[in-house]
Amino acid sequence: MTKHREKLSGIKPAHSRDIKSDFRIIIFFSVNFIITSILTLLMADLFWRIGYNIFYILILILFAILSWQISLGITHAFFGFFSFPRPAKFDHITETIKHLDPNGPMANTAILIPMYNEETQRVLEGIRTIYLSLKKYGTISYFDFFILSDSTNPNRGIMEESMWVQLCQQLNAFGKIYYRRRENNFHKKAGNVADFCTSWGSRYKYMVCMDADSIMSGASLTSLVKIMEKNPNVGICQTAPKIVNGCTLFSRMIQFCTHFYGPLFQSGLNFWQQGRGNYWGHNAIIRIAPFMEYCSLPRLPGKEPFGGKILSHDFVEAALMQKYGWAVWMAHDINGSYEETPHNLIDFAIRDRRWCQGNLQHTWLILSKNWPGSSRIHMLNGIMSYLGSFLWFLFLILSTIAIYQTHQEDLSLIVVSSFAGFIDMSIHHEFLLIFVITMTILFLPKILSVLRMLVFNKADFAKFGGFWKTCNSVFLEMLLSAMIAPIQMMFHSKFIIYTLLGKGVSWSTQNRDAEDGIKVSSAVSAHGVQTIVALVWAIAAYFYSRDFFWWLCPITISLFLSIPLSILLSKTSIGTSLKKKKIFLTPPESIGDTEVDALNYAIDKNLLKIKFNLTNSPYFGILYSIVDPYINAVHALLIYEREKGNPDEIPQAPELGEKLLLEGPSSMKPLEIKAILANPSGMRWLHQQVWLRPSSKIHPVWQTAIASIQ
Amino acid sequence: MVLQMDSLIIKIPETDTYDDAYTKVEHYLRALRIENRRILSKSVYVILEKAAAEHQNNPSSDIAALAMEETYKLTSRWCKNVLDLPPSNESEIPLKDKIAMLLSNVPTKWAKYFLSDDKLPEGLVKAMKKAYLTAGPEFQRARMTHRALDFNPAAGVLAETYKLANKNPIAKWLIYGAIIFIFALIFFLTR
Repeated sequence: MTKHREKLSGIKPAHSRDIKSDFRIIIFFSVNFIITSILTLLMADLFWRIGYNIFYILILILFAILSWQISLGITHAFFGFFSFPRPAKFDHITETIKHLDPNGPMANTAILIPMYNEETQRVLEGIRTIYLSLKKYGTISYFDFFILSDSTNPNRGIMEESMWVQLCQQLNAFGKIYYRRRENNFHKKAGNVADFCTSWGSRYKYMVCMDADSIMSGASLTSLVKIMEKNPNVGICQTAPKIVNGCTLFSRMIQFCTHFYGPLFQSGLNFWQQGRGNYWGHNAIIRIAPFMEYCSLPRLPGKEPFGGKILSHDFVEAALMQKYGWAVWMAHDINGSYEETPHNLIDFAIRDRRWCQGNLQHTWLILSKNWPGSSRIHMLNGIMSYLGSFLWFLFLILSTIAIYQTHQEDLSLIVVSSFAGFIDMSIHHEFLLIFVITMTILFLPKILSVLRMLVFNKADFAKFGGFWKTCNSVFLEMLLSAMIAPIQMMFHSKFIIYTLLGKGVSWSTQNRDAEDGIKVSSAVSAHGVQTIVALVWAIAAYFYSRDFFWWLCPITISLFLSIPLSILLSKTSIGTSLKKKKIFLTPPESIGDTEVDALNYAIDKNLLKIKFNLTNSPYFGILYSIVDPYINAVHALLIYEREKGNPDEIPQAPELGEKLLLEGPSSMKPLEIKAILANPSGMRWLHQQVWLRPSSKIHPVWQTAIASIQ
Repeated sequence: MVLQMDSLIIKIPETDTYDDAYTKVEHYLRALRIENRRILSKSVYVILEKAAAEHQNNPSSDIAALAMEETYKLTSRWCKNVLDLPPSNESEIPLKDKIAMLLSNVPTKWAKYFLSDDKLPEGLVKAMKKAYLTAGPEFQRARMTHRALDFNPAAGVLAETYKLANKNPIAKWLIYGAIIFIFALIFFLTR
């Protein structure tokens, strides 16, 4: 495959596949296998002692798969712990630029910000933050920004256009920050990026893909470009974005996890993957030429949900890069890469729903020929992050059936000796041992994170509120995550079943605004079934086996309390109160971060002022794009540009233009509004007419809109 | 060129229709972000006087509409004068001129020169001429062609079966039936 790389770059690459790297993979997955085997053998022995039946065989198979999945976490933590203090030359891609001249080579880079109906002001303030950070760092001249909008909501679209102009004016950044909106959002985010590549990709050597809520510092972006310049065999370099601006209990907990546990896991991940890493879709730099050559996504066989367009494109793009000989690295030790997270459990689940279907589609790719083994592992991991929950659910259901069957047979349990002679304990003790090992596997990585800091960076505890506050945060996080896990198991199981039944997902926007808690009705609608399932399950378990009932309690209690728990987790007031007590404190909050602080300042001060006083109207987008002379002009000019039209043409009345003027936008169907907005000549005509006609000859809404422009 | 604002003698009838026209023109100038009250009222009076003169020639026409037409015409002429371009369609302010006004901050930075034929400062002329809005740099068209997936034999069979199930509902239910049958068989054989 390296011939592909040579073909594009003319560079004879240092092969990413070396013996040292292979050895790391063998060591890592051997340890992972040993941990899995210990657990599985203990469970097999347990069933051996009480006698196998079909349910126990199925339970054992599921347990083996799930043990592998959970032991991956501790294996990563284990290797992360031991590789943490020693960033050897080729362990960390960032080491390659450590001693470089700060004025070393740079290259033209496009920063892409795909948008889809997101909160406009937040996204554009993020761009301001990145722009100013690059300017301060002195490398702005190498970067251009592209706001790639796929927004379908006319209100959002119009807000984006006018705020973009305002932002460019404030920063004097015309010709540095571009905006384009697609008429047809074909192939969603992947199509949006591909559209950029085919239109402007050839002008740039690299592109940095962002999410709408991403921010990166000038230093981190410059480092990424330098890494790519120094390592011409690297196709993608992914940073490890940390979550910021969490304000609810839930988002602050997730935020703490990425800051406190993240480095340990990422260090372990980097240990084995080296140049065979993964791409997470944002906060990463991509070499455009090979991306365009090899990363156009194939169509999967059949229709959605399993077939059709690939939804989770990032894993596939990383795999395609590697398939054709390009390395994919993770620069997890680059600071200044941030993103945000949904503020409550329900929004988190909505996002998971989309990712779940996308990851399940990767099954096809695992079954395809000539993909690198590491890419198959990444895809399998992605699938298991959702399928795993469903398998846990099946495991528990089968266990319940097995208990029921034992109860129905009404036979006393005859326990035989262990097939492993050295396990000399009662059946109850052996079961307890399996439970303790499982819990250790689940929670030890978190303890290792505390130990890591204690051993290697003791001073860093101060950034998390001090040693005892950090311990309190870890304890609370473990408690909450243990309670959330069964709820997520139920959500994921539902998503898997829906996907298997062929119910696809719609492309929904994340709600990135946090209010003080979700509504009770929303919580009931999202968790009502979970509560009922918990109740029925607990009663059944209590009736058939008192022991099983107690074992099941951590799950049934969490599910039973899912409604109040979900509401509590979504509370900003609780998040804020804990922050004051230094619980779930993170370094950007305790010592400050220039970019995060700048972003929050800009949002607080409302630097992008909008003259819309009718934003409560569902039609404010079309109202202002017709009434406001500048918004009308910007909107029309952008369409002329996109469609290579002539802005000097005489305005013509659009189809349904009279209806819009006389009956107002509420009389129009969404598609009709879309058609009018897409007609620049018609938009100019409407602007003329709305101002020329007497108020008695147009719908009153136009007069209200005119009066509201202050 | 357009008019000498400071030397205007304003003669506008005091009727409700003129009040409406005043309000409309004022709203439009505000929409153009002209916020300085002195310049705003001076501009409105200039426009209304022109409209009043036009109304005398054409008494049946709506004075507010005439005032708006004058607003378009005067603004358009002023823009062309700044940009040193020949007059064009004056039934609206040309798109690019409006954009130039916005991007060169005419309403805030150069408001006192708005609709004025005083000698225009070089900075204003330069800023207006330079202002242009572009969604992106020049296109440099390229293609991205995807490569077909290459399945191993088992996955190939699976892919074909899945495609068939997608195309034909009867085949889909037969496949579901076969899967359920296999599971049921395994269950009964191993019980």
